[in-house]
Order: sequence, then C-alpha cells, then structure tokens
Amino acid sequence: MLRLGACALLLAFGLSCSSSDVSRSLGAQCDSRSDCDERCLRGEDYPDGMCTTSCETDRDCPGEARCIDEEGGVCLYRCQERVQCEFLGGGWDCTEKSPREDDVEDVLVCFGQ
Amino acid sequence: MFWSIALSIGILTFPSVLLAQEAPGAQPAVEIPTPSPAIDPEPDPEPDPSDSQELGVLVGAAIGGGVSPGGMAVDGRYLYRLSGLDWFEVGTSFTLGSGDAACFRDRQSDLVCQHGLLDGFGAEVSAGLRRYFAGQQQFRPYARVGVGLKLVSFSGDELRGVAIPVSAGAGIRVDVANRVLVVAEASLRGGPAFLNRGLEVEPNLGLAIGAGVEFTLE
Repeated sequence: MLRLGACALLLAFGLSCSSSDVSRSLGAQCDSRSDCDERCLRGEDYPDGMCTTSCETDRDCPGEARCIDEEGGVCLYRCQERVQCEFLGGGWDCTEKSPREDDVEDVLVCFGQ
Repeated sequence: MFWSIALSIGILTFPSVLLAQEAPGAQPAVEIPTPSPAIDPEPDPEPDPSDSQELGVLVGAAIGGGVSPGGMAVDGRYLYRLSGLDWFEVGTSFTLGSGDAACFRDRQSDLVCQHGLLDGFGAEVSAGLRRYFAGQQQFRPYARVGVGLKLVSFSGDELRGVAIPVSAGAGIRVDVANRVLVVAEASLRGGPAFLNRGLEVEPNLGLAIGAGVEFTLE
C-alpha cells in the first residue's frame, strides 16, 4: 500500500515507477508517427510497431541504443541474447545488424524475427 | 466565542429588562448592582456589514506532472464573511501549460502519461473556507480548505477528463490601502481524476503558489 501511494505521487509529478526504458523516443508501441516523438517503425521487422529516433551515430540515440543502418538510420535496443528483447513482446529476436557508422563492426540489436 | 459574547450581552441587558418591566415612576425595591461586563482578552473583530464581501484575483504558477496540469495559474475569487475570522470563498482558476504530447503505449499496450510539471490545461470551480489568524499590524495570516470540480485537458495527447481536487493552503494578507489587500498564498491539491483513453481513475496532485489583490466591496 505504501509503495502504491509512493508510485501514485511519483506518477502524478511526472516521474516513473517503472524500470522500463520504453518512451515516446524509443520503444513505445505505435500505429503512427503521432504516437511517438519522431518516428514510428511498422511492419514485420518491428512487431506491434516501435517508436524510434533517426540517427547517424550511436550518440544520437537515447540510452545505450545503437544506431543501425535500417530505414535511413534508426536507433534500436542493443542486446547480447534473445531474452534481453523479451520486454518488447513476442516476435522480437536479438539479431546482428550493420551499424549506421562506417568502419564499425556489426552489432546485436533487438529486431523482428 | 459566540457564547461568550451572548453571555456578556445577556448580563448587560438583563437589569435593563427588569427595570423596563416595573411600573412607571416606581422605585426599585432592591437596587440591583450593575455588573461589570466580562472582558474577552482577544475579542473577535466585529463583522462590519459594509465590508463583508471581497473580490480577488491571483496570478502564479501551478506545478503538476503525470496527468495533473501545471503552468501559469490565474485565479479569481469571491469571499463572503461568515464571522469575524471565517470567510466563505468561491472561485474559478485556470492552469495554462504546454500542450506537448507525453503519453505513449508501453510494450503491454498500456497507456503511460509522463507530462512535465508545466504541461496541460485545467479549469476549476471551487468552494471553501478561509480562516484568519492573529497577525501583526496590517499583516494577517490565514489558512484555507476547499473542494473543486476541475476540467483537465492535455491537447497533444487528446487526453481529457474531470478531477475532484481537495485543496488546503495557507497565505498572508496585507492591508495596503483603503479596501485594497495584497495576498500571497500557496496550496496543495489532490484528488481523483477520471480520464479518457482507458486511463480511468488517476491521481490528480498539484502545488500552486500565487500572489494577487483582493478588494473589499462597498
């Protein structure tokens, strides 16, 4: 009960009780761009849709997301194994992709199966 | 306090009533000593019928967040004196903040709203009580409680609803001129908000601070 009350107070003042990194800039489900701050990725590569941010380098991405050479350069969650992508829901896997930046080795990111 | 005043009035007027009931010209059989009136160490200021109403306007800031609007706050109020210390007040207040979108669906498809402290729009009507405390010279502190009905809107997210906030606050009033008072006030609000987009009932909390002017009506 105490935790619920504390969460209610935090939520009311714009803070989050959740440990999830999902936000309007990266990770939220979406149907259209208006669901996100910038871009909504749709299709079988992005199950349930995913908000993301355009990028040229990893520094353009929130948190520890990586800038991948897909859709003109988008941020995706980095991973080392599939279980790390389960928070996105079903249909996601940990897949090797080419980074947007040249001269950088392929990286593992959460991507549709 | 009321009973103290009533008792004093009763003690003072009772001998006169007795005298008025005797026959004209008759001398009272027993001289009734006039009691000295009971003195209240801090009597309530007697309500003056000519200054029992006030109008005021306050401008300040409201801090919200989550699904509670925040931003610039404009507050209009009407006060009616109930007694020497207590006033009834009704008012309308508007909170004008940013309309930026801040809601999203998490990976379980639940809507999450993380508005900033100064986002959203609110329009509230409220009623409450204000009680003054002893002050110094022209300064008088007060406390107030109230309950309101508030329309809440976050245009960027098409999120709307109604809140029922209970407020409690404190302030100070300064007499600056004939029938002109300057007030500064801070209040906390909290209550349930009933919102659309599947959010149902969410807490509506906020802190408001402001300053303004109140006018005593003729």
